[in-house]
Amino acid sequence: MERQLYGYQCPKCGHINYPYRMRCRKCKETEYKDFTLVALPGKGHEREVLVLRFLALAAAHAVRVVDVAALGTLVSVELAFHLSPPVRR
Amino acid sequence: MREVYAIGLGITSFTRLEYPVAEIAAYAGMMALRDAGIREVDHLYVANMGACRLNHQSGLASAVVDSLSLTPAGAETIENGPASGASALKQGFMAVASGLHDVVMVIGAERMREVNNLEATDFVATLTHPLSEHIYGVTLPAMAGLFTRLYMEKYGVTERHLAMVAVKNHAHAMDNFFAHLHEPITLAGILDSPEALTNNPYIADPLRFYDACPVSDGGACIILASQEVARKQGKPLVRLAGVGQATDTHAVHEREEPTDLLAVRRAAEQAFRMAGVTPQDVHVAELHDAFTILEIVESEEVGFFPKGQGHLALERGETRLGGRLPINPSGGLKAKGHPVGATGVGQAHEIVLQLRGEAGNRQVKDARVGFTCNFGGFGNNVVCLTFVRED
Repeated sequence: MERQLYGYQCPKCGHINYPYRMRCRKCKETEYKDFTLVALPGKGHEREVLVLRFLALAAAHAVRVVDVAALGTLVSVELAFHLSPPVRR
Repeated sequence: MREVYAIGLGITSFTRLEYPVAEIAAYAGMMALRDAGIREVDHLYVANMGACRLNHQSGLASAVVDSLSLTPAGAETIENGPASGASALKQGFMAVASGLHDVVMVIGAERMREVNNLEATDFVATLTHPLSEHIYGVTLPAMAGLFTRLYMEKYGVTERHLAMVAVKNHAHAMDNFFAHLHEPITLAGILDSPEALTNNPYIADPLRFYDACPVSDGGACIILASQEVARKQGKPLVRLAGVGQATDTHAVHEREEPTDLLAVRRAAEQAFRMAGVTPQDVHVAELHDAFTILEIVESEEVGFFPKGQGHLALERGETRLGGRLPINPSGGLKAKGHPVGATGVGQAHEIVLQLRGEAGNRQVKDARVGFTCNFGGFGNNVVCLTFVRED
């Protein structure tokens, strides 16, 4: 399945916030303006991977921390997804 | 104790909002930051009653402090039923007065319309006594209906008086952009005409449809600060001068006189005493009119009028804009709306706006002392606040 992550670009300073927040984490502008939705690059540097297996649920989750370079701004992204097929003992 | 001032105001429309509750709260907070001209606060209190149940959102203050990029400021959620807002303001007051913090943000937010009206009504009903009230199917409109019937029999309040409260507060809300109901109503339309019973059916005898507040979403914010910070703002100095809180029995039937709201009386006495003013000094008030009867009764219990005579003052027009003591110039819960956790902050927002002289067409002339009554449960946990304009 194709996956695409989107960030929220501050109209004042250009910083890409992820996830969405009301006020830009970098410039902390207090005048409300809609962020611009920007597609983040599909490639990044995988920093950590943690796989959690839940035997009772016969399923597993993986959490990845990925550094994504986007428009000159480094964004830390957490991905959570089901591994398929479910893990069996 | 240090003196505490309101230095920033923010509010959303009280209506149906299609945003997550944390965003509703954060929007009000950002408006207040802008109003105050500051970028950081020391601490955040978020008043909310039902996010966990209605919106599947726990840890609301943690979500809001991050959404506003205010980390690493401390943050916590305050829940005290429909009095959560004023309770959070009380916490903020104590934090600044004690010297623990210099600048504290207090937000009230609620998103009730994510669920249907039956679920919202049951959610609010959970604040009644679980074993002696809620288990029998009581709802807040039912409780208010019983209370109103008793009050009518004892003090001569009529359905006309109740309707007059609704007409007055709907008229006030017409000048409030942020109010939920911009709907002028008349005594003819909701009481006297042949269509009145259709327009305004009974929902919990003797209360009718227009005797109850709407179910609303919304957020409001006040930033509190020390005198040193407030003096740098260059805005009219409005001081949170008095705070009072009192409780009563959880089950209404255990009260010696069920038509007395002793917690309202005691909380108001404390708030006036701390501020060094009397009820007769007040120029404008926001009272918790979740049902029309409550505005009348609270106006007596807080000391504006003698017991049993609030409806007579209403008849004389004393409580409408332009009267001797305007009550609920914002439209009150009745027409401005009642997003439960936000209500107390919304009331205080209106009073600070009035004392600053920034209330536009609904401005009470020369208002310098304002008062709020935030009514939790069915009068079993009440928080009153007194605001005084200095300078």
